[in-house]
Amino acid sequence: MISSDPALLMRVMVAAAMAAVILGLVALATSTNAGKRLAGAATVMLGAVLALAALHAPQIFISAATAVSFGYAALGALVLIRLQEAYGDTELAAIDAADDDAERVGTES
Amino acid sequence: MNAEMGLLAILVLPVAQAALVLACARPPGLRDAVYMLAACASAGVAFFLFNETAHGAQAHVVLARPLPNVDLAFALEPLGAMMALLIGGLGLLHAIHTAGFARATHEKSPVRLMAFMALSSACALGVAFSANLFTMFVALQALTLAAFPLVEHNGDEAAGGAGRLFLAVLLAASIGLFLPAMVWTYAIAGVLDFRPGGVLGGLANPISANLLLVMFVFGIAAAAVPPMHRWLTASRVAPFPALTSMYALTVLPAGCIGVFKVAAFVFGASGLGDAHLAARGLIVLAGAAMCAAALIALSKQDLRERLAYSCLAQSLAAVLGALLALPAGLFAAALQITALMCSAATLLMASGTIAAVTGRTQVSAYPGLGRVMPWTLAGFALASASMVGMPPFAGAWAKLWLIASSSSVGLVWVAVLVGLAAILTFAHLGPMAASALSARAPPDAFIRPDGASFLLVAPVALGAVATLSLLVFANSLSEFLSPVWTPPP
Amino acid sequence: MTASLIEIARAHAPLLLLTTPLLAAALILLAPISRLSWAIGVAAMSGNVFLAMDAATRHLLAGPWGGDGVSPLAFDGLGLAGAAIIACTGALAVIAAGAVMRQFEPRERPLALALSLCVCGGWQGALVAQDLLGVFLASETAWLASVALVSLSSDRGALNGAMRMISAGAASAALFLLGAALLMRGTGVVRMSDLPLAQIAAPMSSAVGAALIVVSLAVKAALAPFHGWLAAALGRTSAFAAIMLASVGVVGALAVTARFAAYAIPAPSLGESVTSVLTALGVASVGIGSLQAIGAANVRRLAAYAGVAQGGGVLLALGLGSPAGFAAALLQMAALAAAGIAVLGGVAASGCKLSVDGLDGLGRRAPLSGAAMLVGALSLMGAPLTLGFLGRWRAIEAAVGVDLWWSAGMIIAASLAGAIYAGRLIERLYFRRAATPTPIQHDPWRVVIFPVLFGSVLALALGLEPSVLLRAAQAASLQIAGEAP
Repeated sequence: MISSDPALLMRVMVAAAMAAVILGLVALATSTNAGKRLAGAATVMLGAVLALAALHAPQIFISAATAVSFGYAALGALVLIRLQEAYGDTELAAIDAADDDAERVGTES
Repeated sequence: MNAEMGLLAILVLPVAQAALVLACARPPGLRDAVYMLAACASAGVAFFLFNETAHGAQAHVVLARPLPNVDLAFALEPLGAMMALLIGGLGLLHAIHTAGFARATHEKSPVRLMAFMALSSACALGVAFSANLFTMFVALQALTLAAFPLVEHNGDEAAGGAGRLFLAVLLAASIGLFLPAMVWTYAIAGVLDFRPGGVLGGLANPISANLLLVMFVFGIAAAAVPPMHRWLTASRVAPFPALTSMYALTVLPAGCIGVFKVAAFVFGASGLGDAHLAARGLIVLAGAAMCAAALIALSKQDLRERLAYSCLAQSLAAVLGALLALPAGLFAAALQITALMCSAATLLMASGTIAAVTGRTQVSAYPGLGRVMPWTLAGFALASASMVGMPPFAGAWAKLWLIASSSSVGLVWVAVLVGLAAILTFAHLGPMAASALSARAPPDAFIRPDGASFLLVAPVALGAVATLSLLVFANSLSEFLSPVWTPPP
Repeated sequence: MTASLIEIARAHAPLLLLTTPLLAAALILLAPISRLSWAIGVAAMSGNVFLAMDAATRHLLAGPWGGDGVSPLAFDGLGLAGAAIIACTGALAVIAAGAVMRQFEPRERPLALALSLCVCGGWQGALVAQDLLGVFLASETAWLASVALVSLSSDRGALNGAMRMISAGAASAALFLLGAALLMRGTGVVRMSDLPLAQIAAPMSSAVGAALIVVSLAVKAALAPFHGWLAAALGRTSAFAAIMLASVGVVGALAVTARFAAYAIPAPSLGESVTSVLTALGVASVGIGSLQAIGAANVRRLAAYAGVAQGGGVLLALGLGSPAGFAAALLQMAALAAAGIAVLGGVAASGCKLSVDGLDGLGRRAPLSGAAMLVGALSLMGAPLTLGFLGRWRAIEAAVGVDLWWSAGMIIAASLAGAIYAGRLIERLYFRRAATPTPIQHDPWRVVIFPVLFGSVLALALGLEPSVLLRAAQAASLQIAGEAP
């Protein structure tokens, strides 16, 4: 039934895409853990790719968006691992506090 | 040397003076000699330019064109030549005095003091010779930055606070008021050039003209029209040579000349007529503030503070004259600026000499000092008489013209305010000078065994002589300055 | 032979601006010695400067020009002007890399240099790309390279900045994609240059799409309220990454924003939403950036917030929607690039502490670095005879020209705030004495940083004699009036 109504399918897809984007943005803005932020970044990118598909963007656009999403995911994962190694934590509050302490005693790059 | 070369030379010489002093920091003898010789050269060039202007020479130097139709340019005209002569002539006396002061007080950073005073002079000359509003804006900004180290010179907490206030008031007014007023003027008139008769007359509607006048007068915070006067009272923490430079030679006179140029060359009589309401309001403000400053000075026991308020009252008289929109008012303003520079320089140098050799800066410590320092205190008394407006000293002619010009347009109350301010000035300077000369000499007056050196006394005495200058030159000066208020045919 | 090679290079200049740095980046990773990598980078960026300046001279200064046709990579007025700014600042930064590379681990030095070239190539690519896909791919290349460059610093604090950049970048990329999808669906065009003449079927969704693209680019340009990542990244990363990010990354994103706005504003139904978003972001950036810069206790963070405020000034000028506003925006971008490179280059050259009190008395201890920072600070505050003043003046003039007095007021307010935070820098440099002076480093390679300080000379020279720059900015901004593609 859904497949017989392309307009409805498009609306459902756009709604799903918007929901993913909004969910991702909220996660990016509010989460206090680097891992959760990375998940938020992945969600927001997924939503954007879905939106492109739903709005019938050119195929090359969708491919490019997917590639960039993977780029963010890969780089984000790398930074997340290094954060864990360097701070022993991925909670952003703890990382900020450690940075503030370091700055107060004057250890700069 | 032609007039253009002279114009360039007078602007460059103080900068060279600063560089030379920095380069010849040691030994102190060489430093002082270089500083005084460069001041002597500046005075010579200033005299040359004055003479050339009197003979009708004109010069226009364009250094850069940072905006379309707007040059960084300087022009030789009578008002600038008069200022140059005053800055050059009094600057020479001040240079000698500074050398003496630095030696007498074992000043920690005399080179820095001298260098920034020289740079301030260059910037004040830039204001005086500016050919357009943009150049004046640049010169005023540069003057603020060059004078800031003078305020902060002592390096203590109080000096730091005063320096920040100085910078905040002058820069904020300049950027927040002068800059938009300048852009607005450019939008209305299409030019920023200074022209006798003004560029705004008949072009700006009354609302714009009124707003513009207010923005310009407050935007030139160096003129210290309240509430922009706080830099002046705060900067009293600076050493005496710096105070002499700021109050008598550079910042305050540059502010007065700035307002003068805006009134004469941007608005002109017809432009000020369009801005009638604002002009009247500012005259009321300047007149009332002039009396208030003279009254507040009476309550101050620290001589630097008292002289700061006294100079403020004198500068407001010059602003008042410029806003009268009359040739007579402009002439009165020019005379008042001359009187302010001569009298304030003499008073501040005399106070500096006294502080250097006796360590006294409180008014209550002055009685009897004239017995042990007759030349210095005589200079102090003569300069005080000029500030008050006693004939035949410079201040008298300025106030006479101010009273006459304001009365001629029916502003009798302005004449009354000028008279009241003169009485109050007498009240805060007269008794002090009289008791200094007449009371019994204090025991152990000097903190230096050898008393005041020639370098500290001679400039004061010569400065006092300068306050008599207008007795001889007032008429010639009127003729000399007449192109300023006479629009070209 | 040489002449024909130059002609070929000229004919393919847009493509070369994008590919030269990327190819050089690949070569650098293969080079066995780090100094050879540096030489390759310098050569590539010098070539880019030649190409960009040559094109700017031919197209912007030589009279009327109709654009470069319909190829996917082509010059237009604002793109060319922006690419020239990026090429110059990028080249100066890469030359300076010779001095600051030792802040990286030896094995990471070629990688850092390669990433910096990707940043330059990416932003230049975004400025010559004709369709939205090209702009997206190029700007994301630049952004991801920037993130990697920031995270390479030996200070672990840089990782925190990098993570914030990933968050901001992902949000920005998603917004761009959404915006592009809505815009393409509503207007049916992919090439930006077709926007002004597009038959817009869905005005509302197209307007939302255009606004989303502007917001997306504003995130990358660190405009308030999306600027948190810049202070975090600049505060603790390496000197080289800081210079690249502030002078190339932020300015590149601003230039791409200007270019997109120049196509969108003349388009029916899009202009109003784009100018509204630009103006709102500009006001927020000027206000928030200025306040945060006044309170900043770290020089790099101060520079970051000052950049936000200056970027706000650029957006306010763009929001005027007039050619004069666009010309003023270009001048402000050039001023921002020069000031950023002078201030951050000065800090890097002196090797001083990054806290603001680390600058105390630096003017005496490191006179050249101090002088560069002085000029940078003067330009930031909009002091007369600097490039910063020129940009502000033209912006105020443009605002008055379209009777937007409040906009002129905002630009003046930004100048006032600039006087406070830049005045504080100057006071520290010349009127304070250091309690515990940081020793100035004397590595012979430090001399290579001085090209970065050349930025301060440019800020002064172009402020004194700006006629060529003004002509170029005016020619570039004619794009908004429809006199160029």
